Amino acid sequence: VSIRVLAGYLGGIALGTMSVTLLFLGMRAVMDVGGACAEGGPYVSAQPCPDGVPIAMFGGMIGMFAAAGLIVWFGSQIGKRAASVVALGWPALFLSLGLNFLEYALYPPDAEPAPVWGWLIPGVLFWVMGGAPLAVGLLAWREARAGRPGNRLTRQVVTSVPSKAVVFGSGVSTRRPAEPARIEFAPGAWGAPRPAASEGFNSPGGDDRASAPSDLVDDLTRLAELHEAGDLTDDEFATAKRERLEADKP
Amino acid sequence: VTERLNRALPLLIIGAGLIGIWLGATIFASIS
Repeated sequence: VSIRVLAGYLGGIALGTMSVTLLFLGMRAVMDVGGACAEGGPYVSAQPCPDGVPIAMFGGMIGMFAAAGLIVWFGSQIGKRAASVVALGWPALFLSLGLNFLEYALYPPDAEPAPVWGWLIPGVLFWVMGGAPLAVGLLAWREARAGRPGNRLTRQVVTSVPSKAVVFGSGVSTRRPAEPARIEFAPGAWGAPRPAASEGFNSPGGDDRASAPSDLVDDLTRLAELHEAGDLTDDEFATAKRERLEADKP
Repeated sequence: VTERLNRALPLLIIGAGLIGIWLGATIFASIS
């Protein structure tokens, strides 16, 4: 990784947090004067904007997009995980701006009675919009770190996103499960299985071989992903691949 | 070098983020 790439990447991060800070402070300045401001044009607004707010808001918005571009552009040259940091921009924006709404709703600057519903509702909405993806992303990240395939919720979310757009971390597999979970009946435990279950595609002791090829492909794909992500060395990858292929021979 | 970078990257990211916040606050203070 060259210095140029690293500098561009870190510059993108700094530009991103700078932009969110400008939006955060600009929003507070506008809320301090009642929540809206405008000037110029055919109608003269009763509420001119505080100094610096137009530049802060406009620059902050442009800067957010530019920062996301820099982080993805340079981050992808460092690695998937570096690029995936851009996903934190969404919760950063909505949680910080939502914090403004919530604070002003619960502690209004003038003598209004709290809570101010007009600010409380967008505040809660912003926190849901920022917090829900963050929570799911953190869950998926934790599962991926532990080497687990993820729980039902994280798999559902991650597999519903096209594979290249997944930014939750390099370890999360984006493959759909190869087959639906099997329902196994222990003999006698729950009584005899119904005919439909015992004679259908779930028939016990039946077609185990039929699913072997796709399992093999899945496992090899997963190994290749781990290798590509740098979690497996060349040697480990070769060994694991050989063992997996051996294991599949009848 | 790659491994050292990988280990240092989280700290570099946090550092860059903090510098960005400081820059944003400074710029806002100077234009408002």
